[in-house]
Amino acid sequence: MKPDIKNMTRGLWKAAILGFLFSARLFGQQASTEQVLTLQVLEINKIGINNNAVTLIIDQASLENGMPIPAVNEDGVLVWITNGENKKITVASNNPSPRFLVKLVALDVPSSAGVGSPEVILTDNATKDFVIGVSKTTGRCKIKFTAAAKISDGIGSETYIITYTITGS
Amino acid sequence: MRKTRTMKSGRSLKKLVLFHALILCLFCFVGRATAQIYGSDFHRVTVTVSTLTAVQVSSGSISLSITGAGAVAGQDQMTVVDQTTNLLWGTNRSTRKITVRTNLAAPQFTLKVLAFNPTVGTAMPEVTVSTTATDFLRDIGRSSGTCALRYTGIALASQGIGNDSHTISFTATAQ
Repeated sequence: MKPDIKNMTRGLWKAAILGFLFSARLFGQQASTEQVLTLQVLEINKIGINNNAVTLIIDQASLENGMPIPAVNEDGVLVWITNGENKKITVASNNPSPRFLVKLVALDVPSSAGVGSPEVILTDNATKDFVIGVSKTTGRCKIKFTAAAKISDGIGSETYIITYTITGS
Repeated sequence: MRKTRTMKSGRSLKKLVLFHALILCLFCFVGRATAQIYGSDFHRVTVTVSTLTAVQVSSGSISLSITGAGAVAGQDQMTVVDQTTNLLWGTNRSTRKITVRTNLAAPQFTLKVLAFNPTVGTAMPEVTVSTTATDFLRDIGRSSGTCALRYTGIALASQGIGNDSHTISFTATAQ
């Protein structure tokens, strides 16, 4: 009986030593290291236009009533990106009392990028909504300008600086 | 008769003298030989080199920030690149590779990493980090080397703003 217990004890010791050696061998075969990485994304709002200069020339009159025919330009493209929520794009002119009539509207605004406002008339230098409902998106639209003049406005030239801004709604 | 007996005894004496001389010579030779070695012993020396593998990063923490500096209006993807830290390793066993994984199961943004310009081994194409260990560098067996860690963080506008905190693990393992 006693030798059996002795043998069992010896066997257990051997198993324990083998287990330790085997685990040590495994640890030696594989090594690992760690690095804590933080990726932070701040709120980003960007807006841009593709053409910095637009010229509208009113040089034709209606044969029916003799009124000047409005000039139209759709060359401009507005692009934007925001990863923030509840934004809108506004437009403003630097001219507080324009001599001629200038209107603009955002065309072909993707539904995922916002909603174009009704045509904006630049009667003063107040800031007006141009595209609303802009949230966590990129977008682009055409800018359609229409310039009109009355006979009484006479002839002349006016320059406007139009500013587009992405801002909180 | 006596003469014959005398002759025989003379031969016997000769043989006896020769025998003793031989014994003496042998004794002297053995004595001389044993005089040079007083004792000897030996032991066996065994040197065992176990499998050694070590991996380390030059910095335990790193921070990437997408601030919009490189953002372009109209383009959905915004990125940030960091290559300020290095990975160092050493292994004395062939057929080894290094894998990479993160502990962050559902990151808000995409994180990629590339082993840039490794001194040893073959860098895998840029890895999108996930919780599954992915090959990062292969064929590094029996070498010590280093490579730059080129991280690229990618955010889309639709993903909004926020923070992802990863614990990135690099593991050298059997290939």
